[in-house]
Amino acid sequence: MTARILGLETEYGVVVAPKPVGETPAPGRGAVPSVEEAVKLMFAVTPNAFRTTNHFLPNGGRLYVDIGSHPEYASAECVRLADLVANDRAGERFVQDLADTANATLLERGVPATIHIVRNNADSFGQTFGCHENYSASRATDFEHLVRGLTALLVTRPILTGCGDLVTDPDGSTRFVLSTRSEHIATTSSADPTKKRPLVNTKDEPLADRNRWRRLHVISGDSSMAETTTALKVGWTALVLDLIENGGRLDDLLPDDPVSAIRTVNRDITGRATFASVQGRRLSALDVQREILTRVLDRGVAVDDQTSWVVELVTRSLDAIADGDLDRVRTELDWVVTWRLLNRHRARTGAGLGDASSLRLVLAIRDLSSTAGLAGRLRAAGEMAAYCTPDQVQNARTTPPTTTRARVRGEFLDWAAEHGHRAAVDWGFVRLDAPIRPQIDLPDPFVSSSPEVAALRAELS
Amino acid sequence: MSQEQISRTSSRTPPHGGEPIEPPPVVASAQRLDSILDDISDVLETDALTFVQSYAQHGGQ
Repeated sequence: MTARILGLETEYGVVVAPKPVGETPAPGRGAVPSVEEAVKLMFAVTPNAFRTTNHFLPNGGRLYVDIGSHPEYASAECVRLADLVANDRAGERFVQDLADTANATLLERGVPATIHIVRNNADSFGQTFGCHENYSASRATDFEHLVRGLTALLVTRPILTGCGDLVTDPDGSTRFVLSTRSEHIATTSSADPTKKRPLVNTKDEPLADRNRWRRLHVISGDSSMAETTTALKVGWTALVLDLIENGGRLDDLLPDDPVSAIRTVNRDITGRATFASVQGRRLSALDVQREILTRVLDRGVAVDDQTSWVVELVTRSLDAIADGDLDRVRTELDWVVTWRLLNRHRARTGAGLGDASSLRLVLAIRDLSSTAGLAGRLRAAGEMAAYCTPDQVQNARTTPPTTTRARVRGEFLDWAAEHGHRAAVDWGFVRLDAPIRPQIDLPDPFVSSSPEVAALRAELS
Repeated sequence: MSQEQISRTSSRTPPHGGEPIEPPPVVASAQRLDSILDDISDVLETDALTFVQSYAQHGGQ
């Protein structure tokens, strides 16, 4: 796998749930907050807690409130999948920590409500929000060619990387779908992700030397609960990017109507539903994914441990889905975890997909709370696979990846806090505002040390 | 590079010390899921509809 900068930006959903009647404190205590008020309460503690501006964190990530009052965590710039997964999980814990602190405040105030953080991509009424993937790409590759090449992958990728969800149709019936986000995709590419959601956001914001890099911004994916699904989603997409950047072509696999095709794929867990390609062939998600895998392998990919892992899981997943034997990937693919748990619940209770308990179950799988959420229980029971060790995740809360500029930024923030200096940082620079010193730019995200920053630290330590 | 070469090096173990991938036997999996569902039966049975209907957001990106 070619070394490239990888990143994830995850928007979280917030539920302010009234407590059951029996748990409701005496009337007249505190009023149940709106989502906006709850998020404000959560973030009231952050400036002092992290001692940074803009909520950049010493672990290289960034925590903030995004459009629509969504808590959002942007991971540090990572090269290794293990670093990315651990850093993303660390962000998840940061957001839940904020909710835990806010819930303690609500309890003190006698407010009969609990804040839940949900790692999914749509609320109960179809409002959607994203989990965006970032991949550095060479300026030497024509961007239109890159997006066109990726379209076949992204339209059919939900058979591997979807989170598994329930959606209600206009007639009131409820169905299982592979991916939440795929239901909201309205075009192939666009620079406005809030009005017409595309597979790829075409904004040209490299956050690095723009003469050398472009930042490919994929916004069609789901937030993943299983670490293995996160690693698969990013690792598999990075391998296909390698193929395209090395001259490989996927044009013949391009759907004639990508928006219609992604819906077709999304509503079929067998992977066999077909759509028309631009060449008039009928193709299924399994057809396209298998053909892409063959081309990636035939073209030649660098053999390394993370590439081997991705290739094995893609191969095994496609075989398992084709054989209808989902047990072979039951712990590694998010949508399979969700599907199996839903089916077990229905078998035990007779509930329909549209029943409140089924809808609640899907939210519980993605609820970060240790008491109401299921992910921790699934991991502990061996029913949701890990990619990193718990120690790696814990370490990622305080330590940035060592192979990118996130290390310079994170260590700079730690140092400034330790010495009582006021730091201002962004993805591409660090600066001291008190005492005032010139800004130091970090245009190369692959560089994990800076002589200028080292000199500054030596001067003021 | 051939597919055969990749296959020989393919691994179910995540790089850098990830946990072993072999999941517990599938025969006991249903029992484990049942146990998890038992554990949160209150969550699923008590005010599930209220919770679901409380989940209303502004759209994001």
